[in-house]
Amino acid sequence: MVRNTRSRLLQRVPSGVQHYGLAEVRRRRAVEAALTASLRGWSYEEVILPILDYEEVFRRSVGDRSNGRMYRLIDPEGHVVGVRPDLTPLVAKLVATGLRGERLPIRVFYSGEVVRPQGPKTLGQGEFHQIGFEQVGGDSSPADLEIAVVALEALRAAGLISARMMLGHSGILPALVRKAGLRPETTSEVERSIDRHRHQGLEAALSRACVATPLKRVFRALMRRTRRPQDLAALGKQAGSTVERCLLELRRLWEDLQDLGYGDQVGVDLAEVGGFGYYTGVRFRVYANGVGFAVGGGGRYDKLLEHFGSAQPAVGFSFGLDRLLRALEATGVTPATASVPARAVRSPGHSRVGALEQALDLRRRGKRVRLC
Amino acid sequence: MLSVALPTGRLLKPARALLSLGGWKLPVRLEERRRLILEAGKPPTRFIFVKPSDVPVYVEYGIADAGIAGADVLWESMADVLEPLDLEIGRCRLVVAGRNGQSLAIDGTGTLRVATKYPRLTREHFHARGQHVEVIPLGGSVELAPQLGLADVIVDLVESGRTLAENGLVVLEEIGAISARWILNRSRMAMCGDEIERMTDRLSRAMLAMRRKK
Repeated sequence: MVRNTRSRLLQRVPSGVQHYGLAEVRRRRAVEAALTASLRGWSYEEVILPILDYEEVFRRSVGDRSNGRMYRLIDPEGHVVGVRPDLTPLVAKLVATGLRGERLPIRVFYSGEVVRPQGPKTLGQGEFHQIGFEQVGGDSSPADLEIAVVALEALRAAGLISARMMLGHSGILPALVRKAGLRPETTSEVERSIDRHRHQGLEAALSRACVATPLKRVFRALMRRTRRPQDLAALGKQAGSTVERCLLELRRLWEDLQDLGYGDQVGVDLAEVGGFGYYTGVRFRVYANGVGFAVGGGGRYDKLLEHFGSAQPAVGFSFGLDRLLRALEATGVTPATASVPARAVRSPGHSRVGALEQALDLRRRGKRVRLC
Repeated sequence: MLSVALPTGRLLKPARALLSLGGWKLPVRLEERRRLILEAGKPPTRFIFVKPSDVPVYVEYGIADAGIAGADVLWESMADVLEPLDLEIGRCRLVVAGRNGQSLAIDGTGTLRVATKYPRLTREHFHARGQHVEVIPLGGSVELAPQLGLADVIVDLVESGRTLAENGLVVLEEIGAISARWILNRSRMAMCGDEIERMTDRLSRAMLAMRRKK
């Protein structure tokens, strides 16, 4: 019985993780290579990040312990460590500590898996390959524009031309909430309602909190679709200087992207308020046909590095390889995975050495061989 | 062309009435037909007929751009979708029901057993006040559970209360008001928002027309 269970476990894959082989690996690596080559072309340099780090490092990604969004282990010294559910804090930590003293701005990229326990909802995947890039230091608005352009160009390099980037801003809703003086319970109800475009829910929450009509109008407007950059200006006037500044940032970014010819590929969605808790400024989310979820996303996080001892502004973006592959599949793009055909090397007679001599000669001249 | 997931079952009739007011004429007796996908309206819209609890799934994964789902199955599914309209159809209540005089309190007689089609919502409801319950998930005919001794109480939808009464049950506690929601996929909204928004506007006009008819 014991033996039975053990051998069954040996052939099973634990829930949430997966392995890949042969053609699937070629497909994944081809898309990864296209993205990373594009990132290298923009002078982003690769970093390698640890698989575990102290749980505190990920607190701004996953919130407190109770929500169960990270695997936690006890290390041999008794500290609680987390299996990385997010890579951005690890980049922030590396730049703030190991790379301290390097010239700013620093441009880095990474490619690797994150692990997230599956919630009560899904029995699906819990391990995701992410390819992301971050810029630390440097002026905010040129850096935001650079990140958006590099993301869209990396997608093009991978063959996804029909993607659409939605811009948002993490500064707007908190500023509105402060201005309206909302209490924490109301705030989370308002956030949830806006995030899900629940008009009636928002109305009820704001009325209960006795929010003034002009301000109510601004809350409501976050869910409206913004068609042109000019529409953003109209919104700002009633909402206070912080909101006005955020909207101006967004408007400039949007206009710059339009000037660069990305008009059809870029839009603004002020209602996207979810995501990691460390975002402070402009937000990006990229969608594509054939996938119901975002294929990538990112944003500005100006307060994250100071937790690791070096206050620096930063902005980044990351792609979800699995969703990207699905989008490519849906649009009929097959990543170029064909490799150089191998030359079959057969042994003359029974001489193993003879076959290998021939193969070695071919290999040293850079040919691909397969021993038969 | 937009794809819209519609629930078979109790919501189908009111949903069809609302869609017809909006200009999408779906054939009557849909229930008896075998076809699970059909087109209607101008511009043509594709309607996909699925089990009520599957509507949020089809929409969350973007197989359908939009859908009509009861708030009950929507909350139970935890699907990450937009829900811009409360369609005001299929109104009912999610309640805790049991035999008259059945106590819900923790009285030292052991754990309360609750049979339901909504295990997640049930657990959440009781946990919110710190009460541990044994949730017994069922696929249907939940009203039978207390009679047959499978559970002490049930959590289920109530429209008129007749089914409860016929099974000797009364409402002990109300969890929430339920109605059908118009739900949208986030990605599809980013990719073809204009089209989806036009359909949403037409539906809210249809809602007004329906209110006037009443």
